[in-house]
Amino acid sequence: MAKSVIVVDDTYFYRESMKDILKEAGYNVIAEGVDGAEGVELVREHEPDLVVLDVVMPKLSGLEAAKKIMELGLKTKIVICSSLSHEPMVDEAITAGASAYLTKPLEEEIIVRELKKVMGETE
Amino acid sequence: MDTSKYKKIYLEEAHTHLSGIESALLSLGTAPDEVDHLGHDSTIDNLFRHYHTLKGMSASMGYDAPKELAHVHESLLSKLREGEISVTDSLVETLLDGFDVLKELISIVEEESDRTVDCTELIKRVEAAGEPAPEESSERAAPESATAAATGTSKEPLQPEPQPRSNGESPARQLRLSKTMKVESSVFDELLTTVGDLYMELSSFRNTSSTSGTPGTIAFKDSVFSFGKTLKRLHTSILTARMLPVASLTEALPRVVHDLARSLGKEVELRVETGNISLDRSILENLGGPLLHIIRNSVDHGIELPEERTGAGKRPRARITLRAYPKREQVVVEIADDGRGMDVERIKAKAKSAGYSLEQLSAMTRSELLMLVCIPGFSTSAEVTETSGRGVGMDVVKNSIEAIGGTLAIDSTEGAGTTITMELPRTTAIIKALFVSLSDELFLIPISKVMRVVEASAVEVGSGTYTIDDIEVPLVSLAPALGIENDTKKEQYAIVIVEADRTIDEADSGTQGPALAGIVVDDFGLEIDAYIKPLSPPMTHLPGVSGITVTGDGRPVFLVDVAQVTSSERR
Repeated sequence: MAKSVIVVDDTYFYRESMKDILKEAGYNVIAEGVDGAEGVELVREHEPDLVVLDVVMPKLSGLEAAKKIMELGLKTKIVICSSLSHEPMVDEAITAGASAYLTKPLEEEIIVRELKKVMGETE
Repeated sequence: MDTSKYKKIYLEEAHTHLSGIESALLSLGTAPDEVDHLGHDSTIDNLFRHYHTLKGMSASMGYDAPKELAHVHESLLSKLREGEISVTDSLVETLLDGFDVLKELISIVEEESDRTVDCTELIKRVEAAGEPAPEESSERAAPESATAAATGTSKEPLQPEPQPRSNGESPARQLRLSKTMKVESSVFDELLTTVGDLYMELSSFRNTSSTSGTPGTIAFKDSVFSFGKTLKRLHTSILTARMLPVASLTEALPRVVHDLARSLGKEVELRVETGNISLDRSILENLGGPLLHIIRNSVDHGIELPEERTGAGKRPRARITLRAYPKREQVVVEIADDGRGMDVERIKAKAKSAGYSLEQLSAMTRSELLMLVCIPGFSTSAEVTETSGRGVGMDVVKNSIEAIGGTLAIDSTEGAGTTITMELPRTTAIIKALFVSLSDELFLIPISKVMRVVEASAVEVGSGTYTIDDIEVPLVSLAPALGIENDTKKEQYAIVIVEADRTIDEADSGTQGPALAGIVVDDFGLEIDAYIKPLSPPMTHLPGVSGITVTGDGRPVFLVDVAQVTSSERR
């Protein structure tokens, strides 16, 4: 069965492009959120296989959202996707519980490869 | 990534971020010393996020110029957020100038134009603004950022003076509406439903006509009645679809006020409280000019310099409030400032020199006296300034408002400020109409009814009919039909050939083709787009007219009710 994914990004542009990439790769995008707080709520409600979080968002940043999602104790994998890419940020994300850190601009190939790795689907 | 698919989304989002940036920058600019540390943080956070996203999106799309520019801004905002530098007037100006260029870069993307903008200097300026400035920070910044500044760098602070814009003009010179409109989907649902109902009524008409089918039967009257009701609903739906929020017109105003106040050395804060009030698109389009003029007047003449205000016991920062609120069927748009107000004695003195007698003036109420500023040419040349004195005065403002069916009133208290109140209709009917005249009086005839206009001699007119294309057309003189006297004797008259409603008798006799009638007038003139206002009591009882409009020179003109004028004579 297709893995369920929730996309959380305050920018419609990124939500759309990320959704297209995910659908193309055979994932099932079940919901999308526009800020960190909404992201946490959506994950709590739908318990997806995967959540993709942007970092710079209103209300709750992606890193803070990742910490809260970890506290829920679900099986949901967390992937951070941001145009910020300096190392302390990546370290913080991994410490917060993220399984991968992807950078924008979105590169379809890289994203799909990394997600497959995270989901344990590598051929 | 297939970028073309995302370009539209990119542009939509970019515009949202641009307007977010503009309003955040202006709120940084209007009250840099009033905002506490927490308040500051959220504005700066917002700004950071806007630039950050713009940079990221531009990078994704491969638009290097906006990416680069957004990037330096993002870094600058990051330093502001960390408290390494603090908000100063010159920083805000740098950011605003940067904003103008960023906006330009995005419109280049939008227009797919080959234009390029050299951002090198600007980028240097933005980067320089990010260098900590010890002097400024000791004045303005919180203690912790002062230490950050001290540990920063030993370089000379680079805080160049804001450069004047190349042509000294603000980019936001006019209030314009976007060419595209967002319409709620429910509007289209309603339109579709109504059109569906019209089809149902059409088939009911078909039924009636194929069976017993004579007009006048109950079934026929029933169909006519519900047809009329549905048509009215369709009209209402379309009027609703044309409505736009007042806010869509006033978006550019904060920047206009900011730039203007700055150029005059004044401190002005603009408050816009328009809520979700909407007006017909054409009314809003015509409101832009008057609104801008009133606001410019206010900043230029109404509002005092900060020292003068402080001397008068006022806050140095003046306030202009633009409000829109409903009032019965109308919408009120009100512009109030807390400036010096209008000097009634001076207005009186000017009116006197313009030819008003003391007697006339003493009989006038205060508000009538204030309205004298709306008389053409009333502002004296001494008052004409770079900003407001463009040969356009309050008379033009008043006429433009009346031309869209509104009214304008002025209230002012010397020393305390001026309030200009405009009452506007929410919707309007614009129709093309032809000017016709009866001696000095002008009237309008809807073009939709006019077949052609011919000239005829007094003798031809006297015969009561006119033959055109072998059809004998009955003539109606407009003057008696409207119940007015017109003693002017002329040799040549104009006949406006119109499509008249068939009388019941004609319809019964099965006459084919449009019924024509000729309306005899003294002369005819131009064709105009007229904003027709419905008549209000007691004018509703006037015979032969169905609406009224006000021409550019402030003259009221009635719209001729062609059906009434032609049928009343022929029956």
